Amino acid sequence: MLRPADDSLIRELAEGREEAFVALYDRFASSLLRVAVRLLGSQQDAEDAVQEVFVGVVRVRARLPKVENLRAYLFATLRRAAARLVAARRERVLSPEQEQALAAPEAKGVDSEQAVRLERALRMLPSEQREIVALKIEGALTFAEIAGVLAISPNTAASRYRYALEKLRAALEA
Amino acid sequence: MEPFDLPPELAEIERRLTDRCHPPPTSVFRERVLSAMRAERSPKRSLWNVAAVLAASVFLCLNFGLSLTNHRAWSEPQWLESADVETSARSIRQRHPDLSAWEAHQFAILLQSPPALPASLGGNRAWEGEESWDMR
Repeated sequence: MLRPADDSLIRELAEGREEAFVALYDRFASSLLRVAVRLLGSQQDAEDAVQEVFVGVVRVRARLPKVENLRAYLFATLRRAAARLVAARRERVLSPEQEQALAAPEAKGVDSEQAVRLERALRMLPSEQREIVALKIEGALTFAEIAGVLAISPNTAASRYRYALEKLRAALEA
Repeated sequence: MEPFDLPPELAEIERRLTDRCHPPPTSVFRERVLSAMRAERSPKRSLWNVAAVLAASVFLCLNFGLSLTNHRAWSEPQWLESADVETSARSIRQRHPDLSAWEAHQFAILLQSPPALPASLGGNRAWEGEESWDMR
């Protein structure tokens, strides 16, 4: 479903307006980058993937009016970009320092050790569950949008998310 | 909100996941992405830049190649090309019978290794102009 705000943004993007590109970046860059970091495990790779998404939007701007859900479209594009990067560079094993950085120790009310444990537990999830958690939590997508991105049903998306949370809980309590 | 209720213990995990703070993208990254988007939006200008660089490169290569060709044409008389020292020495003696065999031989050696040309035979200037080879 197309949100009214997306509708006007898409129209302006299709017209190639500079301010529309800036608005697109300001609205989605942060969540795209968070999901990309989660998918790729590397800030640098994540930034490359996100840049690829935005540049890709400019490249195909004439076809954007056909997009039904801009948010889902961006995350689906990010997913493909991330898959290409993973295929090209192979998934890397994170160093403890990178894990610590990814765990965002300044999290509200969560001490550093717990944040690192949560991060480890997240990385232990099967990739399909980790991806759903990233899209739901970091990308703030609805299950319907996640379903669109992953080409699965919303119920399947919700179930996988629930399984993922159960695994995280079990890992944290172990 | 979506009609998807989580039991309290899972809702707590979700809250902990959501509460994590992430630093926002840096201003450097923002500028990098916006620049890339602008460049993609104006491919014509980018193509012109590429075309200009290519044209300049071709011009420089042609110029360099031409200089090399000219230099070679000036510094190596055709009759010396691909000749060994003995053959060159014989050719030199045929054209300059006043030279001794030893002088012709030394000259041939020098001709095969240009930088070593001594000052008494014109120095490096001998390699720089056609007139230096006007020994016929």
